[in-house]
Amino acid sequence: MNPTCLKLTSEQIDAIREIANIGTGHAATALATLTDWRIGMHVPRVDIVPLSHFIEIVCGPETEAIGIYLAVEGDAPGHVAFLLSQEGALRMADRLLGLPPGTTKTLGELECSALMELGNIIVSSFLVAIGELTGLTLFTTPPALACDATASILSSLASMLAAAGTLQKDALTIVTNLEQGESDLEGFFLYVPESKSLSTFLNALYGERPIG
Amino acid sequence: MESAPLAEKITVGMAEVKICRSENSILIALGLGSCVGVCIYDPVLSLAGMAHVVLPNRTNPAEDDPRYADIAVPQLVELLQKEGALRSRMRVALAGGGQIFKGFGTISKLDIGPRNIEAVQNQLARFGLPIVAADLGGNVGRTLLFYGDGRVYVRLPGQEERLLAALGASEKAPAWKSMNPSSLAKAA
Repeated sequence: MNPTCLKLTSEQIDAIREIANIGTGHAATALATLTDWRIGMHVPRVDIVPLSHFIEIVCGPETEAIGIYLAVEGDAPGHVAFLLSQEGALRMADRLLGLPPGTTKTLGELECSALMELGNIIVSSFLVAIGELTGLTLFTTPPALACDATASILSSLASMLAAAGTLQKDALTIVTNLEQGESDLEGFFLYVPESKSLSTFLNALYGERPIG
Repeated sequence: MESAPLAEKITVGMAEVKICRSENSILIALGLGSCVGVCIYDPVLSLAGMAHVVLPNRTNPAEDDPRYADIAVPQLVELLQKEGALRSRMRVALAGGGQIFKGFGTISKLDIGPRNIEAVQNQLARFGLPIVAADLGGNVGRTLLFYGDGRVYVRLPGQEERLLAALGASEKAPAWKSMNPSSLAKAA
């Protein structure tokens, strides 16, 4: 019932970041296994982002990209999205479909389906890791996919989060940059837990203690 | 580029309502996915205003955030009226309300765009404001640029911007690629 500014101590933010770090690490491993690429991962950035600035959480608003969205359900509901540059998505599609690099020029139904399945697998890895760490049960809804400008993808995501009540005045967002080792392909893993899930996580890790 | 002074760019973020009085300014809404950008112009005053609507009508009457169509549109009209604009002179252009996420099965969360379009159109009808041109719905995101002289441009990903309307001119600009949102709402 507290829609505005989340109040978390730096210790609590560190704990949330660590949960995301472990989850994203598993997601990156799944991505590396699926593509047989070396995947580099940065430390997750935790920010409290107001709605009016949500589209700025990833740079390059007019860069064309793909976004895969999955809702997280279970003990700690939330939202996960995976963003990939258009070029990255094409190369990923080549990889998933066993084609030589540069073969895929557009994302048709088959390519989109493969990318959504990829999203499903990496987000499931993410949730399994977090579930093992916290003892919580987490699962996803089927994925949705968008190919558009980064800003349009993020604003549509923000609208869904706002409609779900997760993004009210602002929301805690966790963004992790993923890179392919050899080239400059870059992706972003975005995790937005619902505010009530933050206390669920902290309670699972430290036992019952009020946030504040 | 030409030697004209650079226009001042005013970004209208999600759930923001802004106006500008200078012909050298541009109101910009970047990446309208399911959001609807509402441009209202008073050609006599060269007064431009834009609302970046995120959600359809509020469900809680205590809400006052302009993310909702039923808050943002009245707020924009009121802001313009405070600056001397008259409702009888206001001309409107709309863009956005797309549904860019495609999913397996029906995920009701994905149909925010069509619902935003309907809510904005209802609000405009309430105020009796004519929609001169609109580029709505579909499966595409748009960037909306509203110049202080009343010109409204829409840019699709990877394309040049295209004129949607000239709200300052007395002639109606041809409604470019305007789609019927009611047919889109069914497709959702």
